[in-house]
Amino acid sequence: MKEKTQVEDIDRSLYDFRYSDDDFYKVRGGLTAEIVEEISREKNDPAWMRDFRLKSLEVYNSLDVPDWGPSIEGLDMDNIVTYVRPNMKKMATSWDDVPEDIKNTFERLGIPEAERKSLAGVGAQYDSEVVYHSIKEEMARQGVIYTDMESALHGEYADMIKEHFMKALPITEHKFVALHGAVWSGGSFVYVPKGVKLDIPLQSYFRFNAKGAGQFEHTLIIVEEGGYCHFIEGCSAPKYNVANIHAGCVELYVRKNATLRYSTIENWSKNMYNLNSKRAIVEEGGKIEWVSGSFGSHISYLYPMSVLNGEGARAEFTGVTFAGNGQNLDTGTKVLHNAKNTYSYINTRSISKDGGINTFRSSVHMTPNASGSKSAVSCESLMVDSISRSDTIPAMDVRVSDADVGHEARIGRISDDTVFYLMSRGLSEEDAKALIVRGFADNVSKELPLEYAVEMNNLITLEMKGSIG
Amino acid sequence: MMKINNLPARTWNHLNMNDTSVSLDLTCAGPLDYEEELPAGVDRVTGRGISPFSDRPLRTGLGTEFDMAMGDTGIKPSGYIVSEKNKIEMPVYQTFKYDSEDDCNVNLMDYTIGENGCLTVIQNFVSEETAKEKTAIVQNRYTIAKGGSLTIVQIQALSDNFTFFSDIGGHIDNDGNFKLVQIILGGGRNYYGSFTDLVGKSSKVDVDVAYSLNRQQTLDMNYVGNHCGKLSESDINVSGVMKGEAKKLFRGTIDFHCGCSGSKGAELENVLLIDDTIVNQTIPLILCDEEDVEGAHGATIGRLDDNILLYLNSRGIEKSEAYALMERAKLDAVAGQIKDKRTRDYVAAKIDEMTA
Repeated sequence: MKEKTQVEDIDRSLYDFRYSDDDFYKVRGGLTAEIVEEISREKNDPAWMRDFRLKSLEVYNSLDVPDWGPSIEGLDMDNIVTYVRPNMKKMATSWDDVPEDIKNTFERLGIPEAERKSLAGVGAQYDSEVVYHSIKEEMARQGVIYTDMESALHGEYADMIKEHFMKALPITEHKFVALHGAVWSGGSFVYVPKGVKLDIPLQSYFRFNAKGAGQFEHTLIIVEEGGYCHFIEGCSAPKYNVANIHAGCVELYVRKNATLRYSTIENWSKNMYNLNSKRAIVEEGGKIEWVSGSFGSHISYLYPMSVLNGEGARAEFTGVTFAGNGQNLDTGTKVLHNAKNTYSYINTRSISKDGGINTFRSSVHMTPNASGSKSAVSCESLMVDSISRSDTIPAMDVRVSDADVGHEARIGRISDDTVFYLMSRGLSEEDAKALIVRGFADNVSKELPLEYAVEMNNLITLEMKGSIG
Repeated sequence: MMKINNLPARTWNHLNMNDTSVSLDLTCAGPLDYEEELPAGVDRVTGRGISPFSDRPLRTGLGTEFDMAMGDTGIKPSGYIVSEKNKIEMPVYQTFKYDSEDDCNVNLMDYTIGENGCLTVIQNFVSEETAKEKTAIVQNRYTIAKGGSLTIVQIQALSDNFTFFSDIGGHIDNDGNFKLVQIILGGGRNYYGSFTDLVGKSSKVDVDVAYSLNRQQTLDMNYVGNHCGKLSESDINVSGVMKGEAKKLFRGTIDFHCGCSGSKGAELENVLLIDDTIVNQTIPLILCDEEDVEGAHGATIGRLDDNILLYLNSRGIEKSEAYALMERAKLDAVAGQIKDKRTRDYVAAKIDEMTA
């Protein structure tokens, strides 16, 4: 007789550690004009940014919370501290200048080692501020800019920031992007000049340490004509028994014939409300490649959007979402085909176990400008047990006849026969199931650099740990 | 305003797919006196049948608000009871000729299929091309007992002056099955919904819909297979052609509830787009609260495949002819699901008339 598999919760000791933040600067909890002004003052914002923050707050207060996704009732903004600044005089460009606790945090997460081995540049954010940023000299010599948003806003790139900041993702889009506009802090600015191709990736890592706080980093990337860039973002946090919020914003501008690959391994702790917004504007012949692994958070709303504005522009979205105990992860993507001969390919996998809830949500919209365009969507869901849930909600809106839109979705369970076969070859049931799930998620892992694929596979193994036959 | 065709799981409001708002004036609504051919062995009744699923509210595709509005009209439902083991070979023919001066006709139908009973109902909706602006509503509610079978065939060829509502819903017990065939050739503004509650073990629903939309015609659909019983099955196939400034929204949902282990659900949509002025929206959902199920959906939307076009061109068939051929093929494929020859011939003639 077959027995049911019990799946234990994840062992997150690798990520679940914290240091004291007693000497950090914090605003009081809540969200008021006074708090927004205080953040603006502390960050020495130019006047336009201060006005922008206040306008965003107005918009935030005027918009309703979404009525279509997971409940966010447990998130009380009156108790959220929206700005926490580590006790550092200025951002470091050498790890030796980073305070010991913070440096230890990133050492444990393997960031400096990854920088030495395989990255062209690294940004490290701790709570609300970027604490470390560097770029390899040869990249800088080619004119590549990789710096924190605050430096860009105040330095020689100020005009470029003003021209692009929250233009791809306007604050009126939804409530939490307006929240971001009001209290944003930290994040990275990347500029890849015309024709420059970065062979090795850049990475920003966001570490959240403070209890009951929010992280609102802003990432702005511009890849000029013919350029190439691979940008990796990683994130983690210790688990607390109160809600934390992450409402970052990512704006990507992919110019003519340029390519940008944006990879994310999201591993927030399970008290996190991850209400993140990402959008890429792609011009003629350009390409955006999203690679997304979502493993953490209590609640997630995450739908990177590609706006294909130029003829021949392309978007690929490859994603895997793993929802375990106490998680309700609403993820997916949106593509707007708004020019001739544009192309999109969406390939996602979701795994639900131990009471976890997964929702794949997508939208493919073809405007009357999109003649000759094609879109293919494939989503597969795996149910590991009968106490979990998995929904797929894909929408298609086609307003041009000369187009091809294909969609397929499947939902199912781990095949008993496959598990039996693997067990007959000497694997334990736990290992057999972990192997099957890793194989199921290989659409993402094979798109990641080796080190990150290994990390993702380890996360899956951790999630599957405790399976007993 | 009333909200109908509510999506069982909501999505982004800006897509305008979660539901549809309609304004419906039912103050002067009355039933249409339709023509009926009733085979022997079918009992005609007035009023709602008694459902063995008294603890489960009966839901319909157009939704609770619409269903309540129908109840509030005070119009008495009429329908049929098929007794235990009574397999009615001949279909019931119902012809709805909307030639009266009424602004709004509402017909509420109710079917009770006894254990191992079997019934086919063929509903034909027609009007003169010059008919005045009018609203026509037909609601079909059913209960299918163990091993019972009900087939409803609807052929709608109303003029563009019509706003047409087809609302269907019912429960199915163990080994029962419900088959729905809908061919939509007319109507200016069309609202179709079907909710099948697969309560019993091995209960089954099979939906086949074909449509051809042109001019400013609109079609708003909502089909739900609600899997509660073990080993239940649902299969939803929708196929159509869009021309002119037509607008269509297809919602299809396979909803696997906890406990429906061994169930399977599939939905497939195929749309051929001919003009750039169409609006085609599709949202096929799979909701899954049970591990041991298989669900799949697929959609193919767009122009005629280049290879098919090339092949047809090489046989001397022009592009416009090729599209007409494909339009006909889509409608014929669903019409072929109708077992009754008389109806098949009628549909073929209607398709001839439309594609001539």
